[in-house]
Amino acid sequence: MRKLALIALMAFASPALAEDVTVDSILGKTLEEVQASLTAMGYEVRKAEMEDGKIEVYFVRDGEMGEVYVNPETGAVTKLDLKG
Amino acid sequence: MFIVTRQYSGRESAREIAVWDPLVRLIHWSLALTILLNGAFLDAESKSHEWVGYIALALVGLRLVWALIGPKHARFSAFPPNPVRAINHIRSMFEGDRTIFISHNPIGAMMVYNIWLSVIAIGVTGYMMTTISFFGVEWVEEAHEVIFGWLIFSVMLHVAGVLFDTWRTGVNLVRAMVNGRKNIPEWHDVI
Amino acid sequence: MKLRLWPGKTKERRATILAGLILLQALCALFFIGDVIEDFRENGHLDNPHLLLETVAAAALIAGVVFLMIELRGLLSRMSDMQIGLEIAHGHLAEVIESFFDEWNLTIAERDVAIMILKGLDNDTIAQVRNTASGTVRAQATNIYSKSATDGRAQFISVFVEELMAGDISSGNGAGPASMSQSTKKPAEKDRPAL
Repeated sequence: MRKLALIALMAFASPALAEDVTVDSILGKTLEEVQASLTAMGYEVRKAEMEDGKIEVYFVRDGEMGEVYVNPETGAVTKLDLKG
Repeated sequence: MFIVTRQYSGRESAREIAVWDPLVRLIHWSLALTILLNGAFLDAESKSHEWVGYIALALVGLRLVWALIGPKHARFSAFPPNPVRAINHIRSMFEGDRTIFISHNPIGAMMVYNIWLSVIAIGVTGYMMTTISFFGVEWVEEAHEVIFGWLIFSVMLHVAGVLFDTWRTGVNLVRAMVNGRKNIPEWHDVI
Repeated sequence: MKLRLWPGKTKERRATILAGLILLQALCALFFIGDVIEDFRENGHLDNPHLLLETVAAAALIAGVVFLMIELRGLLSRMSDMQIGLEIAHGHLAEVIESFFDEWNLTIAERDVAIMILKGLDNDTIAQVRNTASGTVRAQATNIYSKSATDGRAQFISVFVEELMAGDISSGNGAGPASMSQSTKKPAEKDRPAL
């Protein structure tokens, strides 16, 4: 019960406790899906396009910038570049 | 404008004039190298691309300071930005004028300012892309790429212009930018 | 005093080294400034001693660049002054040379070459400056010696050295066409030894 409450609490938690994108993240198979996933995690999407057959998205959160490349076939992150 | 034949005096012989000092030449070729590196060899997403860009900015900055406090031929006063003069210069070229300018000629001057401003714009937009406010912002990236395209076009025009003027006046401008001296053929007026 | 065309290799080399140092220092300053800016953006303040050191280093390097620029400008100015000084010293001699060339009926190209011979350039260098072949210059030089009735380079030059040593050179200032007709004798009337 307690665990459930905690999980529920986390789901409505402030952005400071939001999920981080990692090299293991599954974000989606289309530009829209990936953008939606990132936005749900609290990231601001700056730019999204196809590059070299991969979905490339630029995002910003809490003063940190990053780029992520996603394989549209698997929806998984192929490259993550966090710029701090 | 025709050169009036006058009684020969020593000063009208073919002569070499020291024009481009070592710093001007060093900056010129270093800048060309940075443009070549960033344009043709370095990956646009790499750290070295960024650094070469900042070096290019520093080179232009250095040149601008030199144009303020340097020797005569390197200063802004030797080649002021003047579109009217540039157009007049083109017109007189077609009329057979063979006046030789010690420093950049009026149209060359416009090209020089064009290249400097372009490099600055490219460098600044490049830097902007590393800031939070402009990271991933479309117009900044577009500007960076478009102005770079313009720069490459300008460089090609610049090379063509240099070769053309070398042919037209008989002064080897490429060699002048290597060893600093312009070899003025006889009977030419020099401004 | 050797009538050299250029102020000398040492000054040129020095100027080039100065330019290189200016560039190098500017790039080093860029490196430190870049570091400071990056750290400032990350931390928002500059009280870290490491950063302070970098700021001081950058400032020192920039001061160095400006100082060396002024030095280089001075050096270049001295180099061009020497060049001008030489040309002024030539000032009086120019009229004399002209009258000789007139007397000998040298062509325009031959006068060009003759001046360079007087300046101490060898045939190959003259060919380079004039953008012609060495053979052309050699032929022109031969014509010059023949027209001036001299045996070769050394003797040709000595004709003018004689003029320099003959006096009346001290009245250097204001040597224009008017004074020239008074002070210069026509070459044909002059006593020319060793002919």
